[in-house]
Amino acid sequence: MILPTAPQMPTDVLRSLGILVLLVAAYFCAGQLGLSASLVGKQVSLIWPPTGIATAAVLLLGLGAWPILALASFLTSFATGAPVAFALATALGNPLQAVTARILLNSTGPFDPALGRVSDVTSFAVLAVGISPIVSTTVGTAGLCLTGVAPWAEYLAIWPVWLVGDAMGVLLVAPVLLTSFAGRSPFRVRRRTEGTVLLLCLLLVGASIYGGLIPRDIARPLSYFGFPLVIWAAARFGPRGAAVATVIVAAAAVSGTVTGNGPFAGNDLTANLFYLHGFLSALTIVALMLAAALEERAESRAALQAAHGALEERVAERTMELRGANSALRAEVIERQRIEEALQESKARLRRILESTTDSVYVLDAEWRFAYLNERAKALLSEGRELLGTTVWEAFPDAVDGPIWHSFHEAMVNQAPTSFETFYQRFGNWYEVHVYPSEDGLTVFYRNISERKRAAEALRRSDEHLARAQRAAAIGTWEWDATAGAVTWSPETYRLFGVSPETFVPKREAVLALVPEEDRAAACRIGDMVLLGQIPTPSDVALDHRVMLPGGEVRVLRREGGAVLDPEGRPTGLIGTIQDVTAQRQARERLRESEQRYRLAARAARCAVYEWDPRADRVEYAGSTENLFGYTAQDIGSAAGWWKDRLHPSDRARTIRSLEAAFTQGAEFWDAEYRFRRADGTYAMVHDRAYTAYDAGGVPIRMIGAKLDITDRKDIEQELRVSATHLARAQQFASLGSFEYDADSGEVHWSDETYRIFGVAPESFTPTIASVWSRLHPEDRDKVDNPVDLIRRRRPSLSELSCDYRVVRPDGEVRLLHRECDLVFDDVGKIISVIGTLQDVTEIRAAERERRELEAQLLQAQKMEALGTLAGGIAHDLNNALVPILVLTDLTMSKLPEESSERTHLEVVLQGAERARSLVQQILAFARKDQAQIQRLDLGETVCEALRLLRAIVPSSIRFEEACEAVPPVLGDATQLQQALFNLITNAAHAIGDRCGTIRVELGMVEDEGLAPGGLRKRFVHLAVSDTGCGMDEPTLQRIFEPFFTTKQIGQGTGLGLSIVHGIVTRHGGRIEAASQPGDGTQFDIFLPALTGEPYEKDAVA
Amino acid sequence: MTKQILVIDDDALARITVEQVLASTCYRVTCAADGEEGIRLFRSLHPDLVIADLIMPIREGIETILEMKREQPQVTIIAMSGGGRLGTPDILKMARQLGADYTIAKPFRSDELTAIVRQSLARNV
Repeated sequence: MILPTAPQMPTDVLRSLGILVLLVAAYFCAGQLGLSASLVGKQVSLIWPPTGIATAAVLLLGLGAWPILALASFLTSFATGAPVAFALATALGNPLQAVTARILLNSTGPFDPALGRVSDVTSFAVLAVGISPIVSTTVGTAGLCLTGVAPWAEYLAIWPVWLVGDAMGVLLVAPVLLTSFAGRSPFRVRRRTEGTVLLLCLLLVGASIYGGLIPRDIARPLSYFGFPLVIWAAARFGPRGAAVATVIVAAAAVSGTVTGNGPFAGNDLTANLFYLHGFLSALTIVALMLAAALEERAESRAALQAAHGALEERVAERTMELRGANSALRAEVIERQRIEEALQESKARLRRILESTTDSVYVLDAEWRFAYLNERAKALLSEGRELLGTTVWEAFPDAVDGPIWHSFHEAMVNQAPTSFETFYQRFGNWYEVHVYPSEDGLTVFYRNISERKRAAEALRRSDEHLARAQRAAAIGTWEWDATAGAVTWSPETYRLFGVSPETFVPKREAVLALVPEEDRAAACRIGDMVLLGQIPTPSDVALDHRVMLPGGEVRVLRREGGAVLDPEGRPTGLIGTIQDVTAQRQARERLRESEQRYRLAARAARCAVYEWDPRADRVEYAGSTENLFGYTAQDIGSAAGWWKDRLHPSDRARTIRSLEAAFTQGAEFWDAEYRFRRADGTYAMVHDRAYTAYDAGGVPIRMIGAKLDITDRKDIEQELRVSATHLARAQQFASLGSFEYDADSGEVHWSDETYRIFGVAPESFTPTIASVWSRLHPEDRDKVDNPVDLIRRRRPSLSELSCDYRVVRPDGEVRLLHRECDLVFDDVGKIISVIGTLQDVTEIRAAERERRELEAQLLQAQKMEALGTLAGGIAHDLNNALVPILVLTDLTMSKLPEESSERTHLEVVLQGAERARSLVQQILAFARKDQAQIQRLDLGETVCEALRLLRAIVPSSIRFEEACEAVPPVLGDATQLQQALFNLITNAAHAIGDRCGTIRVELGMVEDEGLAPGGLRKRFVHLAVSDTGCGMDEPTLQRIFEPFFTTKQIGQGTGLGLSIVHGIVTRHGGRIEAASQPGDGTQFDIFLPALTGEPYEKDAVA
Repeated sequence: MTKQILVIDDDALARITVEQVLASTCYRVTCAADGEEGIRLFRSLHPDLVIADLIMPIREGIETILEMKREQPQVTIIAMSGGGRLGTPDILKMARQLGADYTIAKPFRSDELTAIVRQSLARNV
């Protein structure tokens, strides 16, 4: 750490000030601490820590620190109440000691205040601890005596104590500061746990052994226990650890000794002092030495390692260099190989070129014999023969007297080189032959030119195709050479003029003769220009003129072309094309007419057509803007802004935004609806539709559109919407949906309510015949005609058009629908659609059925009542009538002899009368209605009681089965119910007759399917009587409850039994049902309302 | 002393039949064709037993029975009926509750009639 002696920066000043304050404060505090262990007055201390601080300060900060130290020393002494003179003496002596220590230490060589070397520790121990305190001691003790604090006589006694105090201050305090601030590693504790354990041990040992916690006699032999701990600190935590550890031990020992405790107390003061200081010196020096030695060893090991590392690095570098050299060598070798290969390749290529030469060469001698052939020639001509020495005509006899033969002979005779092209049949190829004659013979080069020949042929064909294409496109070409006066026409040009190349010579006059009088000037104008030496521009040449064809047809021809110039730039002729544009002309004419018609149509359609060039922002309105919006042509602006200004404020932003979006997206088509201000200030509803053309960069260049006034249509649409809404509501209220089947497209359209009726959503369901019919109840699907069936019938019946059927909704609910529909015909009687309505009649039909049932029940009740009245009257009169019959027959019989035939006859009369009496009793029972003794009763008991009786009556061939559950109570008349059961079982027994059979009686509970008022389920007690008897057919079953209806023989039944049962059950508020199949027995089910809320033994409903 | 029996019935056949049977078993039988006549005879004859039909014109049987019982509570009355018309409860049961001592339903056998007549007359002894 360096003290900035000449601070230059404000921060340095601050830092120096900080150090100053800290130093003075530390010195002062250390002084106070030292004085607490003072021996002589308040001036001489057992141990004087400020000396250590001063020494460390000068060693760390430099000699410049001494004024601060002087100040600190003065303040410390002055604070003890010492005389100012003494304080000045210490202010001189104490810093002098520190300065002396620094000078001495630096004189022996470089001193490292970190105390990391044994030599530094040795110098420190000898010079700083041993010698430098002599200065401060001598000055201080003298000051003490001079100022009269101590008498001169004690000078020699105080001096050694002062010296030892100062020396110990240096020895103990300075190392801590030096190692802390000059240490190599930054100040932080590694091995935190170990440090903590060590610290605890130090504190424990310090407090117990040196601090006096244990008795002195025990502590004294243990006083060397400080060593292992201090050595531990030195070994593991270096000089810094050693210094701190010794300070802790010293602090404990000093405080112990001062308070008269610990191993060093107990003797006289001086002895104590020397024991203590002897121990602390040894401890501190050993610890510092050991730490320094270890530090040095660690350093030398690190240096060794660094050296080792450097060596290895060097080796690695050298290795790399070698490797680099090696690879460079290898690269060179490879390069050499590559060059050699390239050389080889080059030679090979040359060879291949030489080998693949196409020219063949051979030499003939004067006798036509082959004298030399190159490889090509050999390969071509030899055909496996040895040609050298043979004559060419022997080898190729087919060439004799051919073109080759003649050419060769000619060349030989003339001794002139010749070339020709020939097709040699033998090889099937064209050859270009160069013949060089000499006196010795001929040298012949030849080359196969078949490919070139074929290309030439292809070119010729291509020309022909061009001519044909010209003909097809009705484009001819022409050329006029003014200097030669020659005109060349392509075949198509002749055709266009309607003349034949064989008979017509395209001379100026001849051509003009074909052109109508009025076009002639135009037609010959450019020719005249050329003749006058003027150069016609392409626009001069481009002209249309008519020709009169020989057949009388008039054709419009268009000429285009340019001048032909000689090297001096003078026009020498013209060249160009000619085209028949008659059709184009006609098309253009038609287009013009069409446009005119369109304009008229646009006017009629209340439509303003416009064309807008967005780049130039020019708008042209072609239609009837004035008619539509009331603007005159002068009013209408030519920029788009005029249009934008007249948009309704609420629509403006939206419309312009959509237009810009269309442009950005490069959309070809744009349409929008907006309100547009008319000249009179009102707004028209406008439907604007436009097409936009873009350039290659996507910039809109042209927009053509139409603004259509749809104000009226919008009103109608609004009305239609309202009407449709009303219709939809009406359909919803009536549960009435509508549908339409389009015969042409096969599409089915539904109203919203129809979707609701089918329980489907318009978003997820598309009605088609197939999809709709798949929703029908499977049983109804084939019974109902679909629209296609109806159309096929052409004249469907009313029942086919209107019918009921069931549909199954997606959730499984079945709805009953009523359909009314009709066919729609067009003017010519073709069926165009089927339209109709669908009504959800589920509830209506259910209500109708209920009403019918109620009516039937009422009718039945009325019938029964009428019968009851009748029966009552008849019974009364019959009973009266029977009185004399029965009584007087009895009377008469009693007066007749036992065996008389009269008596026997009267017996029969009695039997008849008895039967009549029985009949009347039954009729009365039937008619008797309000005798019921209604009470709460358990039907189980009632039934059991009746069955006990009945078992005795029913024949033993019939088996009884009972299955009676506990049931809730009912309100009823036990006698009547027993009567009902009695009647049912009697009937069952009759149905079984003499055969064996079973009658089964069951009692249980059921819940009604419907909900009773108040949301409660209605519970019924169910009494069932079934038999295995003969059963009955459906018509019989329909009538069994009618009074006097019987299937039994006359005299066996009254026909009232089941009527009575029916009456009883009905009067109990219950219902009775019968089910039967002939031969399978019959079952009667009686349902009586259970008393709700009443507990019963077992809840059968579970 | 021969017992006096008053038979009141609007049905002539029934009336004659009852008279015949009872006369043959040694009772004195007087007949009335309706309630009014029955009451008149009842007052003059003081019969031991009255056999009265219940549903009769002019004066109803039950009314007649009530009248007779009021005038002469100790008289024995047999109510006789061929059954009620619609809506009437068991008319014989009603008659019994209103004063008739015995009831007999038409039609009946001769021994049924003689048995109940004998039983009712024995009551008075």
